[in-house]
Amino acid sequence: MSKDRNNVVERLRAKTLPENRIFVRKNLAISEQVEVLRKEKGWTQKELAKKLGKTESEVSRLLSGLHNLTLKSIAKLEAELGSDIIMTPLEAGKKFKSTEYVTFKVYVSTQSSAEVVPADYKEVGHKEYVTSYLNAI
Amino acid sequence: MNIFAKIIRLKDYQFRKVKYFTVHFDDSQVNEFFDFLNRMEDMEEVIEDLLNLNAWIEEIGENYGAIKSRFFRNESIFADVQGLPPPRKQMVAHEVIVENMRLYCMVMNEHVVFLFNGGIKTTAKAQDCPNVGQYIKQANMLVQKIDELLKTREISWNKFQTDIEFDENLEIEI
Repeated sequence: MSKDRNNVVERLRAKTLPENRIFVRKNLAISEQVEVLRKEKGWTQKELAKKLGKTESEVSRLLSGLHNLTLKSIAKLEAELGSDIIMTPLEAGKKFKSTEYVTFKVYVSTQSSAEVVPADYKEVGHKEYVTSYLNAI
Repeated sequence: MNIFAKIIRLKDYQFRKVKYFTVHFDDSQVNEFFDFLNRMEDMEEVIEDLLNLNAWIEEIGENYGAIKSRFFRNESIFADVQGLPPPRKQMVAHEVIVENMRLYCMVMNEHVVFLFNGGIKTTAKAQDCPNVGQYIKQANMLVQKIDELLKTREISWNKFQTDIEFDENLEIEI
């Protein structure tokens, strides 16, 4: 039986495995990370290509989100950009373990302060810090 | 003999950041993008690349936008045949590369992309390739025609240039 040529999208979507989507998603995430780092460095695409010893066209292809990037290529990019591009959850856990995050709520109102302090304000526990911070700015 | 084609909104490819379109020639059973998908689907050795390409079209459509400088390569007939850049402000065809597979397209802006046809490139220069040579020429002709329709307002942008509007009976003659 001949196939219905108008149903090709449904057939392809049915054949697409999670690994196809993961390949594309991670590939594009790497490309995005490289782009952010390149801009932070103030490098043009041509400058990045020169540092990698490749042509601009080769780098463009490498970072299109469809190229099967090798670990060697990623290592070269990380070395030139001086920063991680990919990180395993274990590495990320170690790296960010010592970072202390402080969160606090700030209430803003156009009414006078006596009227707007919410009932749970004291429960925030950072009143003094918030007050001194707000006084400082 | 002139051939006529209609502009088609690809209803399964309308994403948050990119709306995809194609063209359908009068003498063809399916539109050009579907013809490409069907032909590649029949080639077992490239099916993996095709599935990745399709997932990529969806992913950039939903989350990234069609950023020319990052995701698409210029494949102008001017650049390839004459070794010269196209005239200023003239739109050119672009190509998407997956290993040896080429898909020719027109990136109107980050939000509107026409997907045409393509194939497996077997020679250094696309226009010399028996598989894709015809499609790069066709893509460049279509780009010129669509560009003309934009100038005559037969194809128009919406307010924020995130989509295009056109009469569904509008035909391109090539």
